[in-house]
Amino acid sequence: MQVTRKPSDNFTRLFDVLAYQLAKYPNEKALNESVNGLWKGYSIQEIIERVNHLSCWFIRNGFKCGKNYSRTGGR
Amino acid sequence: MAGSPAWMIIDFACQQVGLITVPIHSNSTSADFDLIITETESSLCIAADRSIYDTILASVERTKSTARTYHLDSTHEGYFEALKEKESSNELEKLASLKESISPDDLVTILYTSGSSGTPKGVMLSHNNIAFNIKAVLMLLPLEPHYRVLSFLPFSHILERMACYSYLAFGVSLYFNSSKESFAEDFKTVRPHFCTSVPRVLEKMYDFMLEQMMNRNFIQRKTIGWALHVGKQYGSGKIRFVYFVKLTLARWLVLGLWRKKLGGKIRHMVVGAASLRPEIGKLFSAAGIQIIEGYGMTETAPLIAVNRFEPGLNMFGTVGLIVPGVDLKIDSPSETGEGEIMVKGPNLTQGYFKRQELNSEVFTSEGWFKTGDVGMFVKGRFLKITDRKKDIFKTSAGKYIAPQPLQNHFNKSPFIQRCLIIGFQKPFVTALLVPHFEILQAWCLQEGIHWTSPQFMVYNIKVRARMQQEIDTLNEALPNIERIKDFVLCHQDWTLESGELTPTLKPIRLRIMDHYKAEIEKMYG
Repeated sequence: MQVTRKPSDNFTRLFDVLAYQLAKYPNEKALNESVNGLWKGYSIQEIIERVNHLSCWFIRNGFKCGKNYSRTGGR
Repeated sequence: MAGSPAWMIIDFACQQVGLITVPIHSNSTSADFDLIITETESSLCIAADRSIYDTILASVERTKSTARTYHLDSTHEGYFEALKEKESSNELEKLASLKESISPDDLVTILYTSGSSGTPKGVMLSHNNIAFNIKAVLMLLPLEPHYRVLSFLPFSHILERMACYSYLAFGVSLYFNSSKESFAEDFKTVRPHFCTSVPRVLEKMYDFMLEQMMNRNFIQRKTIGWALHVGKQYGSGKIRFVYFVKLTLARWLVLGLWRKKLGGKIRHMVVGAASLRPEIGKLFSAAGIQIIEGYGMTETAPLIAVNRFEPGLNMFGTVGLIVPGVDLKIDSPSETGEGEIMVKGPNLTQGYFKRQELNSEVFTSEGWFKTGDVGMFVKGRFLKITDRKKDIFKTSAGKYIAPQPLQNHFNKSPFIQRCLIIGFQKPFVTALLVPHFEILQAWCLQEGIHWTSPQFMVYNIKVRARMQQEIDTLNEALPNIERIKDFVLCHQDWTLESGELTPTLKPIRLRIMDHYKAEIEKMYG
């Protein structure tokens, strides 16, 4: 299959990818998870809003730039 | 665990305010948890579920950490309610200002990796390290907006994490598998066009095909066996007419079912994080799912080289072409061109967190990173990995043995699920073998051998003789020094939960050998 996509330099930080998708390929089902056996989708706009909400929570609760946080996986 | 929208939201939210994320694999030991939480001085810990939450709480207490701890199970106390918060306009302005201050060279994540050695060390990656890889991938993968991708690898591993960011950049719809149990069903309901995988997952699918074969009648077994044989001959180059006819028939009769079981839409898959047996790649490609193998490390965010999907730009048995922008050289190549792989490039880590002594060991004064992998170039441009440098051992006779190619060779047997080659400073090579118990059981049924359980069957004289027969057949293709002279049959598979496998399902050599120390000593007794 031919790869026709051109190189993009429209993002330099990882979170820029969100605005990048919103601008170029806005997807109504960007991220999807199974909830009670059915797939639930979140649009890229919704994801951006939720990301911003949480970032504001971090600010409000004093989590500052340079501080580390851990997270784990697991079912 | 695979990723989820929640994890990606948390990840991006941290990035926007300059918080550095530190993923921890859920099967990490208590000692690992303690080390990571202490070393990183974490201020906030979020667990996927209550079980991990309890583990973290215990670690926080032991280490006297001040980290606030939450989990993502909304039905229990301790849930990370912040995920449901709404911002105020004041904070949005502060957020905009903070986002503006984040530089591409800022540290964005510290990924603890022990690989197959067992000692965790934190790899520091910047936005730019990972963004470089995303941009490389955008050039290489045949994805279109609104394609569907199923993600099932752990988000805590850099391969899947980088892949998920890339999928967002492509504009595809990303579906997250939620459990091992729903894995097969998710493929049917999502009908993905693409996914990233590790070799072990493809091997399991292949093993399933072999199990199905053993449970069929004579004609069906012969048909499946023939189709698999045709599939294993699939090549990267132009297909000749006679083979094309055979392939079409094999796909119609047998191989096409694989694609059907995976939803029927999937055409491409990228495999990484461990060595892929060429015959597995050929089989899937013959089934209409083009598999390409790539190579990288956490330290390179992760891509170093990858085969391409375009004709002429891929070669089974290699990890492909160097990613544009990455510099690579083979250090002190031998007569055959083999040597340690060294890399440099925008994707290269800033170093190991708080491990200056380690940094000075792995970086040269010119900025080259010593990968610890041994490889060579094939046909002048395809990179072929031989083995981990530290896994290559010398027998007591002074002969070097690279275990990975040997393990791949013996894994060709349908009766062998896993193989670990042993022989460091020993007079001859031996192996720990995990039999393919379903296939072994089917064979026992055919031979009229009473099957009890793996725990006892590994000591059955006839079972052992059958495995010896497999080893003898595969030994014939090898020089004497590489032949397995004795083996131990393990009665259970090596697992993530037991600490014998990495999160990407690679065997941790030292741990496995430690578990079977007595049996190994007996072989050389």
